[in-house]
Amino acid sequence: MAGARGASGADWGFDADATLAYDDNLSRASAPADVRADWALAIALTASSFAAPGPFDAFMVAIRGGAEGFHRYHGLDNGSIEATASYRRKWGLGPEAPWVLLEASAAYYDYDVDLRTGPRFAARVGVGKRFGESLEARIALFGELRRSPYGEPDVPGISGKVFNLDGHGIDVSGSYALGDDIALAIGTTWRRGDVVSTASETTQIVSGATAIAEDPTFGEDLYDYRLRGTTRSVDLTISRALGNRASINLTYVADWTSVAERLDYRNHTVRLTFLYRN
Amino acid sequence: MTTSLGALLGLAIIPAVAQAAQIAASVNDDSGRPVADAVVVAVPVDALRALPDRVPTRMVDQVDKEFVPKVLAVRVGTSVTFPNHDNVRHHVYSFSPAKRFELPLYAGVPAEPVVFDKPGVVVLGCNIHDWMLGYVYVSESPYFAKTKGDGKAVIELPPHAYVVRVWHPQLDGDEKATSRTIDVTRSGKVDAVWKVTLKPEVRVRRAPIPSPGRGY
Repeated sequence: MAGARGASGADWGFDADATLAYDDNLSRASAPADVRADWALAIALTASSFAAPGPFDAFMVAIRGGAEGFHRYHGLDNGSIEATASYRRKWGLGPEAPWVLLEASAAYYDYDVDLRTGPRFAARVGVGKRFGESLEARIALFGELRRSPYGEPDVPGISGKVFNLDGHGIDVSGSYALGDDIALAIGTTWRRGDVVSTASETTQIVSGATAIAEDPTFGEDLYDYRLRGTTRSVDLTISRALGNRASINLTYVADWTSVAERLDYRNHTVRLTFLYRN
Repeated sequence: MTTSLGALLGLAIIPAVAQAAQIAASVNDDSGRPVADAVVVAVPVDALRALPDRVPTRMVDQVDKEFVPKVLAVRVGTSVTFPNHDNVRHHVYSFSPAKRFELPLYAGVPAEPVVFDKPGVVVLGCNIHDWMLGYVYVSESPYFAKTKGDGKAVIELPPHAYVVRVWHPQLDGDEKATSRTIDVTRSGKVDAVWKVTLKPEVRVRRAPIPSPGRGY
């Protein structure tokens, strides 16, 4: 029954995102005096190619370019480019067939303050299943790697490259359609790995750090400390579809990070995102 | 779907009569808004009509990763082709009892149409693009029409009495509940208005949802 007309099977798309975000602890600081909050506006454009080589397989490659600007802390202003490749396989026919997703990405971020500049790599493997027309559940394992060539040692014997970070974790998420155009998405993440906290110098934090560098991003006499920690996150998104291709989304994310030496910190983020998918 | 087997058997043996009557149907929702893509079906109260020998082939296209039209109404025995006008391949299937079929991943026009040989609602999907959703309504009667954007449809049919009903993909309840008897033997044209309750359209969503993002 195959068709007479050939087709490349590749489908190119061009997408756009814009996000207004507020983070109440950008510095990821434990001590209230070191906490810095700010607004940011981010935009991104993505070109992607989708292909279905088999009845149950789908490949996608995407190139994304983005820029982010902060209201107060311009050292965090950044531009980025990211390449992502993903493969999804469904086990069966129909929307309720379970699927597995493999995804790998490589990105380069360039910040106004060089300390954070550098490449990032991530990989994830996930499975998901839809239950009826409204509910979809997903679980994924992920690993991530971030490198930065910048950062001078500030303390003898301790690296200055605070943004050389590794991490891995698991996230569980689900989405539920509340009606024609409203969907609710909820998720939780557990991550173990390196985090960076920006704080005043104390014996406590120096003893727990695996890398330390002076960082002018948030003001004078503040340092970045690379710490080993565990972050637990919950996120909640309410999404309103604007036709078939666009949506406006309000997301709340709460992160609780536990690190040694009682340097735990919390941060909360609220994002308003417009997405357009061609 | 209401099926009168006796009527259908009779349809096959009784000669056709010129069609000279109309049922002008209007379908509105609870708020009075016109309902598009509703199928209005008129089944003779008894067996008076002969089915034409040939049923034209119909088409459900795939354009911009959607089925076009979203709702196709056909008579039993109709062949339907599923051409793909996208530049990505589709994999069309249906699990519906009225017609289970699968057109494995293809581009262009499949060599063979699909014959819809049982009355009922056939829900269409694409295994590559889960949000794609379409319907083939297979009518046991040759007298049916689909409402346009103004909620109106006109059925041309022979003067007679009919049981007329309405179906829509989001209809809340059984289409039998919409049935009413309409006699066009004398008047030639009858206006009929249906007020139907529609459920929200909940389907696999195409519009994007952002990933929450993480920052440590």
